[in-house]
Amino acid sequence: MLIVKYSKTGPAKYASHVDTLRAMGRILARADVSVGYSEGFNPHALLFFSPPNAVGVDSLCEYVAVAAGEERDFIGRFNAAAPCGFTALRVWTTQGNPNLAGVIDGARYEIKSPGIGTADYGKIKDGFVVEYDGKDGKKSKDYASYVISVTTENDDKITAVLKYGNENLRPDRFVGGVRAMFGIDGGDAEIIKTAAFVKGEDVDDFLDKLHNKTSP
Amino acid sequence: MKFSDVQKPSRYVGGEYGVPPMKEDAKTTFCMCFPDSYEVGMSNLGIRILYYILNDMKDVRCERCFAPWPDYAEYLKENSLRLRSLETGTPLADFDIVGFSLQYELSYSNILYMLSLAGIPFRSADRGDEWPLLIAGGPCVVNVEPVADFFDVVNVGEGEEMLRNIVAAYGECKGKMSKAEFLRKINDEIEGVYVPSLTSFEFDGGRVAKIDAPHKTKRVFVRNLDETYFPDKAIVPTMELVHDRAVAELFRGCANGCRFCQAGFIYRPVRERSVDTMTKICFGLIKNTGYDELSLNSLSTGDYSGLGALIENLRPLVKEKNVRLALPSLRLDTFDSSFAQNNRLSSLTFAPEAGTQRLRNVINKNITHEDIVSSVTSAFERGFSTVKLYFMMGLPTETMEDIEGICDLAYEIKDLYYKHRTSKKDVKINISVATFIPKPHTPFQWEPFDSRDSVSEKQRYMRGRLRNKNISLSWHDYDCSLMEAVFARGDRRLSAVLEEAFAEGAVFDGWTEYFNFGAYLKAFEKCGLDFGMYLRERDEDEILPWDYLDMGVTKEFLLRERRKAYLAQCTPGCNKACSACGLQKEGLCRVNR
Repeated sequence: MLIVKYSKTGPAKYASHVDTLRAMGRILARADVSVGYSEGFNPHALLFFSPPNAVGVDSLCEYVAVAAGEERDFIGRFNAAAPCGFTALRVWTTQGNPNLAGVIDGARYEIKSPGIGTADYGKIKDGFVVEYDGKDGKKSKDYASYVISVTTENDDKITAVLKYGNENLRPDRFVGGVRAMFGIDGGDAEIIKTAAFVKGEDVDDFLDKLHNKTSP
Repeated sequence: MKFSDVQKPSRYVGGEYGVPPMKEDAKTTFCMCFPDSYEVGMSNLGIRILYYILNDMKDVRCERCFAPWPDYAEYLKENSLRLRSLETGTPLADFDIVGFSLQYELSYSNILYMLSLAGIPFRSADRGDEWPLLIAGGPCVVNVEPVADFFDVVNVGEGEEMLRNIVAAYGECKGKMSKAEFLRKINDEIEGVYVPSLTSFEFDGGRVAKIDAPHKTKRVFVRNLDETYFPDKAIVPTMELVHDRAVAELFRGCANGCRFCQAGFIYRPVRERSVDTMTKICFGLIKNTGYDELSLNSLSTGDYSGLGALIENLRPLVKEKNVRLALPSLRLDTFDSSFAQNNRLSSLTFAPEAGTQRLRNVINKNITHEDIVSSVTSAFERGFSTVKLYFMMGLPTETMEDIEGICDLAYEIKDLYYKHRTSKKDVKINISVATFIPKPHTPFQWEPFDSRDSVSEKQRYMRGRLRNKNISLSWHDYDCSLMEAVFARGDRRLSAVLEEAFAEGAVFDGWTEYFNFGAYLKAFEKCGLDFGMYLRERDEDEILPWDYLDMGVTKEFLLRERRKAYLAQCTPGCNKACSACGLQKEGLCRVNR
């Protein structure tokens, strides 16, 4: 497996997970990377992604495992074939599929929005009910246990580590909840995902250990 | 409203793969607009070709803009923003030229919608030299009259050369002459250019009494497709398109001459690309786009003389790159089910168009009942269990017997399935019935549009007869078809109707959930016009609103075809025998007279 770390920023941050899947297949085809295909009626390129990123959130730490071996100048070829905003940053090779969608469980976000740093985040652990628009209308859920840590940088900027993966709190939903709970107004928040974690360990470090080794 | 509340934001941010570098200091700027959503517009091959042609020109920058979905329009208004181009975010009003591609009549209200969001006055008469030049092109301009008051220039025919010439002339004349002088100049010097403001009409009730045009406008077409630019690249969006695949154009024109089909007449003569050129284009497209599906497009792909050879040449793409080939528009008589099977299709679509052989002869759909039976049988024997069949109602000379014929055919196909099926699966037959719309430049351009009562009766009959768990029946909304029929053969007085309808809320008319017939009814009333006059049968000696055009196909030929239709006589395809449509004079046809 070839594991690619890439960023998804600018126009690319609006690509949904399904769009990203399709775009990745086409980037690899244009970059002439030879990718393994599934068997069956509708063969498709074998690509395994890290958990979906919320639409509209810049990310500096997306990962995809590609059924391919080591490729010469992979990063250069990938970036020449990628649409604006998709940028390959690092690659690793592993003996098996590290199942990133299954093991990644947290992410760190930098959030800029007027007044977002003025909230008393200590109160969140006692209850953090977030209302959001679900498929069948308004929904609400207590996400208190999904907020791992919040560091206030200044009145308008925080860094938050949230659950991400099978248990997931979308950062835009987190911002909505904070605004509602503490009475903060605001328009579009600027959110950047800066790191993803496997049991508290940065995914990069996790992959460094797997590099050229068999997955556990 | 925040941008993050807008649905599918990818529609508005650009940055797709394949966008050429934008020349910041370009002398002439052009915004290519498509009056429908991003995913519909980006599927259009014509604007893809023209986009690259213009961007390849020295000193020219071409950008794109699509009709924003109503939620984004609301966002623009709330934030006092004007409609902008995708590439550089330039407001439309700041371009030198704004071009619209007119692909279907029901997109007309969206022209006004986009102009309104861009803050550009609708009527050319209200736009001084400070406003962009508005150009229209695309198939609908074969009768551009309903939107004539909005455009400064209309490109009649194939745009490759013509648009390049207009844009080059604009670059040379910019700052040296007034808009009026420029329009007069290109009207006189560039073939295919129609300037609506230089042509005037007199009306007598529902009829055109007189057309005063400086000269006939001759439709322009490319003579040699092998020598004509075709991009072996494409803009590859990240979001999904309606037709999300690489597209290569095999040939233009169609040899079949089905009498209801406008495309069959306005794109004549048939001009093929060679197998070598096609092979190069296809390999280039797959390499440069990364698509895993390639569509070999034309009006009747089975008629391409090199189809077998081309598919053979493309085998490495299919085998090694897992590319799926799509062959749209296969006629029943050229259908080869082995091809369909090799390409993992699960459902097949056929278009018999009419339910009886008599009516198929009237419309010159040169396929027989045996063609239908053998194609469908062969498909069922190869394991297909779903077929979609397209029909029309309201065709000239149609009787209830023809409608019964549609139902009989549906049941016959159902029986064929159970005789030839290869699995225990039940068959699914989807019957789709459109209402026939008489179109300009066809032998049926004089025919009436069927009445609401008559269509309802036919629908009622079919609904009764086709009540069966294996058969599903659908049809187009009558009011939508009616408005399409009005615009298809309409005149310039409809520009005012469109303005009123837009003011009443008409937008995205091609989308059932937005189509607002009430807005049009009010608009007709306000303008004191009766839409019935656009739906009626036309006299053969009547002046038609598009009579200032020289399409190459003569009126005499269309009248001959109309007479033959009434006698239920077929005309052979022009790949078999020449029927002297007028274009044989160009010397491009494969069968000489």
